[in-house]
Amino acid sequence: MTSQLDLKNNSPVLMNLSEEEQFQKVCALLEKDVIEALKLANSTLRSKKYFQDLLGRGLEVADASEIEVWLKYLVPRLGMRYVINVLEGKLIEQPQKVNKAMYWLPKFLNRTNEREMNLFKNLENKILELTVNHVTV
Amino acid sequence: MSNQKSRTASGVYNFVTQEGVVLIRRANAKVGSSLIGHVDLAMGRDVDYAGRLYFSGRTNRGILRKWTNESGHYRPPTIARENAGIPESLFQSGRFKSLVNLGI
Repeated sequence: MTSQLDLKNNSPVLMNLSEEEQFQKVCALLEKDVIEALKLANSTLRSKKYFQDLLGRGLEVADASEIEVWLKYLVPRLGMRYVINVLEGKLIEQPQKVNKAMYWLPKFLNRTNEREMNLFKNLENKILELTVNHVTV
Repeated sequence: MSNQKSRTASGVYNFVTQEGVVLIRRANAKVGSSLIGHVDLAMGRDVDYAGRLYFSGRTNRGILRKWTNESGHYRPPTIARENAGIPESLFQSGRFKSLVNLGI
């Protein structure tokens, strides 16, 4: 039996662990099954710091397709504004990673939230400026 | 000898169209710990189109409800959708358009 199944079948045991230990289990499961790991994170973890850590990992490891799944599970826990701020912080150093996430992000935008929409649009404009400057140089 | 079984589609599938052939795979299918993306489905090659197929589930499986151009790797434009080889009447553009380009 895989550790993935062990984790699934032992959620009551997991609930008895400290949050740090639960996070370690989530990290271990990430190596085997990203979707199950992110589901497990959603059902067990509470502290934002763990989800912030997971977002960092997702941006590092996910490809242009897989990043959608990471965003699907992490945006609701972190909030769109936080995610946009993180992406903005990575724009200069890691523009490709930001670009991957930006493709899927509108799917998770709350279009009735004007502040959220403006933040997203500002980041899009920054990316466009960066692209134009890069091409010009 | 193939051990593959025929199944009626339901749920969400990724697809790529290459030289008139549509290849599909469940959107949550994995190899190891990684999801199978469009670029895996296309084996890294160029595609005519890529996106997602949404089939009805439960009571009326196998009916294509809609298809989209959602693909993080290929990002096919809506305008080229005829290359997909799938009935255009069921096409819906993905919800990931640039707000800047839309003028929102």
